[in-house]
Amino acid sequence: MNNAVVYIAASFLQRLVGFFVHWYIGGTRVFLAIALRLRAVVKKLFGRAGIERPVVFVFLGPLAVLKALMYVLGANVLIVLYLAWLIIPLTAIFKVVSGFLA
Amino acid sequence: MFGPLYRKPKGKDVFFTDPLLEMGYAGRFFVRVVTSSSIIVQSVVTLMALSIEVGWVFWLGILSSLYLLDRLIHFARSDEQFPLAGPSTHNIALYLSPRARRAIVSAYNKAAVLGGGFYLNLARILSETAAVSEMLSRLDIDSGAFNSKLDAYLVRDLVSYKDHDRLIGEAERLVFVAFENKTDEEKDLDYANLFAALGGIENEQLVSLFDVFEFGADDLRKVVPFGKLVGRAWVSRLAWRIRGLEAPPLSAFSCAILKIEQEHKVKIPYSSIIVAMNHGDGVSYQEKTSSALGLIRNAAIYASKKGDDIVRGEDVGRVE
Repeated sequence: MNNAVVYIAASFLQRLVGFFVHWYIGGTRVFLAIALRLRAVVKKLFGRAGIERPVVFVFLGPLAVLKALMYVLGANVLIVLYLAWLIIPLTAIFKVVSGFLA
Repeated sequence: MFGPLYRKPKGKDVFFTDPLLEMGYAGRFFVRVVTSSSIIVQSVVTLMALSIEVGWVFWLGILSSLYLLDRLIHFARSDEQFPLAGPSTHNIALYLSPRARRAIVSAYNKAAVLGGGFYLNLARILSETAAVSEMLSRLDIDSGAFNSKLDAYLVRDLVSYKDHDRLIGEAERLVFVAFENKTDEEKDLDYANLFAALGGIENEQLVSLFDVFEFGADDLRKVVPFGKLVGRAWVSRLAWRIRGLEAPPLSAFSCAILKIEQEHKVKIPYSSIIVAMNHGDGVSYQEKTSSALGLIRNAAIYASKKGDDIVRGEDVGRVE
């Protein structure tokens, strides 16, 4: 039975560590995948428009500005969401510990 | 990550050891009761914590709910995923899906208490699962008849050995066969891998049982992707899409077959898939499978229109 108790305790600790690994490493991978996906979408939206259709060539300047805006906007939104993602568990731990000790 | 729980045998780089199998029956039962009930207790306590207006208790509820959500998302995932990475020593137990691991422990328990041997007990446990029913039906085998025959073998063998070392040895052998059989695109070992591995075990009763239904290790290996995807093909497709990657060829092909079945409400046995592959054009695997899928889709439409719920080999040949 001693083995069983040790096993349960060790499993719990490993699941807890696993939670933080999933949250931080897994979460970072997901955000990176989303960022690459967004980049691919923007690239697809604006890619080769001027070469294939000469009429659109006139709009290439504004299109480039729009493309840059979308990149900046998308990157900012993602960075804000990623930072929020990173601080959620840390905030919760801080609130619990400080509230408990107060 | 979960390495410290497992004892590494001397001189082996790839091994199988599971602390649950090293415990006594009472220990295993205790672990099972505690782990099953802890999730329910934690969920209730979390809900209560979230409804309390004391700041730190509320945040504890938030933290606990995130932990529970993580457990829910990863509940079907093995502790580690193939390919073997990191240190040079690997415990195959870490690559088993939680349910496959439970099936092994359950088969061990039954064999140790009631007899019947590890392999037959495991076959009986697995034969009740949707994955194995899918594999059998794909091979045109009636799972009801298979289970009845399996029960007869199990009853006949109940007086056999129950000793710990032999049963552990059998579990280890089976997991190694499953590991050797797995394809490069598989990330873990699940019910389907264990059942297919049973086909590669030189066990008198199993060989005789599989001979009755005229299938063997090769047939079982071919239908593993269907067993692994049944009921969760959409989850698999979604997971690949989220990662922005294309599904590996074998999974993509099996998913496409399952989708055709769902759309046209027909069953496509493996024998018909073989016919389609033989008739399919193309040189590369991708071209050949794409052509075969076209043939299967047309045959499914044909079978569905004539009111048949099975796409037969001759249907595939006819619509070519």
